[in-house]
Amino acid sequence: MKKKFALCTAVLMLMSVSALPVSAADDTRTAVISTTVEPTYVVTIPADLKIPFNQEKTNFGEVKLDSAQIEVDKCVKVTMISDNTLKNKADKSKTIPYQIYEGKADSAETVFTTASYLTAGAKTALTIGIEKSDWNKAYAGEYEDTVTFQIEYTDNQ
Amino acid sequence: MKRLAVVLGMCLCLSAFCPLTAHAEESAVISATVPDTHSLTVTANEDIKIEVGTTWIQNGDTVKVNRLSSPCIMLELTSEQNFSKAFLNGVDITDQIRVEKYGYIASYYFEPVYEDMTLEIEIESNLPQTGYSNIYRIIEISALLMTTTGIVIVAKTKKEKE
Repeated sequence: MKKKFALCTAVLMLMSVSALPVSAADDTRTAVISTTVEPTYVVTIPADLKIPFNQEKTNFGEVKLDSAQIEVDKCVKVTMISDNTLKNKADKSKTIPYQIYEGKADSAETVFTTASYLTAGAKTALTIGIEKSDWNKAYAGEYEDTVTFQIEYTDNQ
Repeated sequence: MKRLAVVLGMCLCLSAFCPLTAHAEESAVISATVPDTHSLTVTANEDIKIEVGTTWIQNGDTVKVNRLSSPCIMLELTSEQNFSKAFLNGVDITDQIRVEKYGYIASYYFEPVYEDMTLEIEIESNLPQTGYSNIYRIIEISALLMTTTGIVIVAKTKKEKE
């Protein structure tokens, strides 16, 4: 008996919920549909490079924003971190100073430190410069340095 | 349950902060090799004895010299040869060549060597190149004049005696 009562009560409750009366005079209602597209981007940085002996300007490839889906007020910022010194592998006290410039080897003059990119395809060509006088003073041996590119998704200022 | 709550809380916190800034770092290695020796080629317009450091070389030979070393080059000339000019990688260094021992030895101390080099030596020869030189012509003409004068004098003397 109790079971039947409970069943009837449940059926009635369901009916009362599903059969809400809708009046033709009701206002139009709006529904907000939202979604979030996560920002994505791909940045290419220069590959490892061996500088030919005695060459004063050497192309160092480019920093490029290959693809990007970023918010309106944001940008992709690339900052270069370097000692600007090639160090002799056998004796770290022996060094060759260098600079990294914006632009191709034949026209590079401005020192590169940072760049901000907004759209896919934006890029900055880089060139490594070593003064002739610094080559002339360099001791024999293998020299090396690591250039770090810090990539940030940040506010566009 | 508490653990789950903590994990969920951390996830929420992370998801709230991550979109603000995202960092990534990539690096590239740049390298260079500086050679420990350089080539030195010596050429001369005549056969001369050439000594670089302690090695005798032939005209047109190439020797290896240590980078940033200052080798000495010696040119041994004969009595028929005079040192004239010298060019190092096309630059005139004639006034830096030391000529000694009555012109038989010419020497030069290089600045610290930092690149491949070519040294061109110009030698003047004392011997006539072709035919007679001017001095021989003068001697020849003088001898002719003296002979002619002698013949004339002999002829005059004979006439006077007759």
